[in-house]
Amino acid sequence: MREVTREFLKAKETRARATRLWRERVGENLARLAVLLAVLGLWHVVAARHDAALLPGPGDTYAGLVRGWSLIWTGAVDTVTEIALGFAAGVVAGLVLGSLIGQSKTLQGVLHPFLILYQAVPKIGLAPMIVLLLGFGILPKVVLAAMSALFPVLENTILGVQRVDEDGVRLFRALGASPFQTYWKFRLIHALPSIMTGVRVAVVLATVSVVVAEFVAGRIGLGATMMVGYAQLDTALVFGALVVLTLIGLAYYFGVFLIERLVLRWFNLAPPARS
Amino acid sequence: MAPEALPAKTHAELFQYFHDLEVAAEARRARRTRRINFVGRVLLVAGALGGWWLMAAFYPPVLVPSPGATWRAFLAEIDTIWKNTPPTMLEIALGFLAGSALGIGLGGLIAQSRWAEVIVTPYLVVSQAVPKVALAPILIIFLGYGMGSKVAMAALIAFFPLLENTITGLRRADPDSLRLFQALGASPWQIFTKLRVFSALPLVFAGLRIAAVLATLGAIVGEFVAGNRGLGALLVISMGTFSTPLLYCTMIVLTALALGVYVLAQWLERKALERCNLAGPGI
Amino acid sequence: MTAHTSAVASDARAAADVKAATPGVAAAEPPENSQAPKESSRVVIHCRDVHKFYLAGEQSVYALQDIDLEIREREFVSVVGKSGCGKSTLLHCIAGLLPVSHGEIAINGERVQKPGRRDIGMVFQTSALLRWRTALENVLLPAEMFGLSRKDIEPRVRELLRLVDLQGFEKQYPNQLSGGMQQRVAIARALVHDPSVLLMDEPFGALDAHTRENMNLELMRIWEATPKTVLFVTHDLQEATFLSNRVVVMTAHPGTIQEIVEVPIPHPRTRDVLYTREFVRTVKHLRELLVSQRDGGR
Repeated sequence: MREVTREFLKAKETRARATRLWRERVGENLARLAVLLAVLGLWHVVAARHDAALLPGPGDTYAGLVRGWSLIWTGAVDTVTEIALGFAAGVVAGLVLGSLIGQSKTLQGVLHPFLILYQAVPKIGLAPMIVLLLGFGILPKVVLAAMSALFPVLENTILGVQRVDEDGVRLFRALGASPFQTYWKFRLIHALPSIMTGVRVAVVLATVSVVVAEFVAGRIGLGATMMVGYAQLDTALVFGALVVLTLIGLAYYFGVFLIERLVLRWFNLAPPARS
Repeated sequence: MAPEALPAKTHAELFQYFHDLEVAAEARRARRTRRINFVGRVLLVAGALGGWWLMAAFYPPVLVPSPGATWRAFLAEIDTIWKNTPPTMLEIALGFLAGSALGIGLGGLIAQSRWAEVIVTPYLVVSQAVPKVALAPILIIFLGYGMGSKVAMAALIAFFPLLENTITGLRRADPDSLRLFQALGASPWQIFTKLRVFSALPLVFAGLRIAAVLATLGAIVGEFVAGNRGLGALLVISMGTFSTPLLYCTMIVLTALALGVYVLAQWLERKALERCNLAGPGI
Repeated sequence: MTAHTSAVASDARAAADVKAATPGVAAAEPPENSQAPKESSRVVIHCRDVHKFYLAGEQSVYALQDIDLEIREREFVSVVGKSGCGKSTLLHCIAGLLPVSHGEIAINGERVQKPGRRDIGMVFQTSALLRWRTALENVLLPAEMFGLSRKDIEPRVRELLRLVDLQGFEKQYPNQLSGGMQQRVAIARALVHDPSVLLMDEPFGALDAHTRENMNLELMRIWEATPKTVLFVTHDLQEATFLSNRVVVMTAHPGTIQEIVEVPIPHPRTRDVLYTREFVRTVKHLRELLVSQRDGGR
């Protein structure tokens, strides 16, 4: 009899707790939505009091988007492509170089000051030179994005590959594993959480680099579209392009976030859910 | 090592014998590493310079000026570069100060209220993914071509990491310390000023370091878009007029400036942490 | 000044003790499947004049001094001592993970020069299981390293998991297993390539006392089913006495062998052994040895 009562009470308490949590979550999200709507409303009100050429409201922005849609669409396609290529190249290079450097104490010693230098220099400052060298097409943007995406992946790969537990390394050595086997079967996988964090940072940096390169080079991409609107004082177009650019940045970030979750889950490396 | 007789018998002698052996081996290893590092680094730098020189030989000077031409341009145009450096530095400094003050101030306010923090947090996460540099043209439309728009850009980019770090840092107080303060009957304000602020300091200092670097970025991007004054503007102008030697030496100066900001920020952060006795793990 | 002579001496003493104190036991023959090795069986692990010295930052560590040790086939030998006394270092040197500063270590007649010998299996304190592999895949790791085919080895892996009482858990991931279960997987993994020597570095040190006791019994059962030569490092005197034929007591700074104590209790051993006079007397002797070491502070 006591057993039944205990289980019954436990189930009831679990249900009550779940309902409380759910209500809390809904409440929080409603509040966040309210804030968002308030900001939008404020934007609309403030914009209504100004000339649309200076500060377009939400409605004007939408109209501008529709008006310049062909320009924005081609720009978006170009930007998305540039980010994808630059990001992918940077991540691959970061992984390969990071693995090589992480496995070799010699390379680490020699390259240490250069790595710090690479981190400290804003790659964006190199945009004009790269545009001059590589022209006004897709290539300079991809190169700049790759250069920016490289470092976080490189650094996190080096850290992750080195930061393994000693007994694990001893295990592999006691089994006669070559350094490559230890790397491939142990260090690399163990480093995945760290690497994925670096990849997430890399996608943001790649996006920023592409936008800046488009500002400098013009001609293609949403950044260039913004510069066109900026030059023609078509502020609504600028705002519209900005909105689409923001959505692209968000999409890439959360896409990578999802990939990170999938990868970590596949290797059973996901950290335990926070309570 | 075959078990031959050791040249020592007592414990003290054996200790000394092995100690000297190991110290000598260690010294040999250290010397070897230093030599390899030196040679490697020299080779890399020489290779980079050589590569530059080679490329300058193959490509037309309008695309790749030789190191010599770059140096000559530097000497010739030193006035122009010198004139454009203070605006950039000022933009970085003002943008950093404004962004940091706003970030820390707003962060402090938001951290006071659980609700505010809960509402703001997802927006903060989302804002990480948004390329804030894209706002540069808009800022210039609003604030004109003057210094204001670039300071605003620098401040805007520097603001977010500080906001986030301040909020996280203030929430981070050790629960046992919190209980101590509560048991001593401290008011929320006292807990804030005597505990939370200090546990937030490491994160805030780190945020300041990041903000300095980002302010530099923001100033540069603002100058790219506005294109009138400053080292970034000079870069874009020289690119547009194909004055490539000027472009290269301006780029070197700008890179040196950014490097200086980075090194200074790192150093200041370390000094500040040491001064508050917060360096290292544990707090 | 080898510890071997003192071991022989304590051999004789122990034998005399047993005969005198427990006439009943003395009269009986050791059971057929007793694991007590005979003096004439071959030496599997041989440490000769081993010294190990290293620099750790500013500190100089004389980890092993004058180590002479012979471990015979099918012996279960424990190494005990205060923390920092070099017992783990000794194990790592025997495994080839660390080079010795002087002297020679040989296993099965061959000198130990680098790690990766197939006649050694190792178990660590932290189990060192790979989080992203199931129990079965973890146990397969040595086979992969030594180039054995998965198809050939897999039945043996399942059999080993059954031996360590983890039947049905093959597809579980380490984070789904308790500490004791993880160590059992680690033991199965150490056995998969059928080494003749098992080196165990405080394998149960991270477990709670109750689990540790059960694991000791488990280990005895496993050892009796697959008799290997075992070198077992632990700080727990009772554990050492319960499991081993001989216990090597080490000092710290420098690490030398203070004495090798015979455990005059025949195998197979059950929990009842813990309350016998021989057991208590042996543990007491070990404790006195440790207490008598000068407290070498750091």
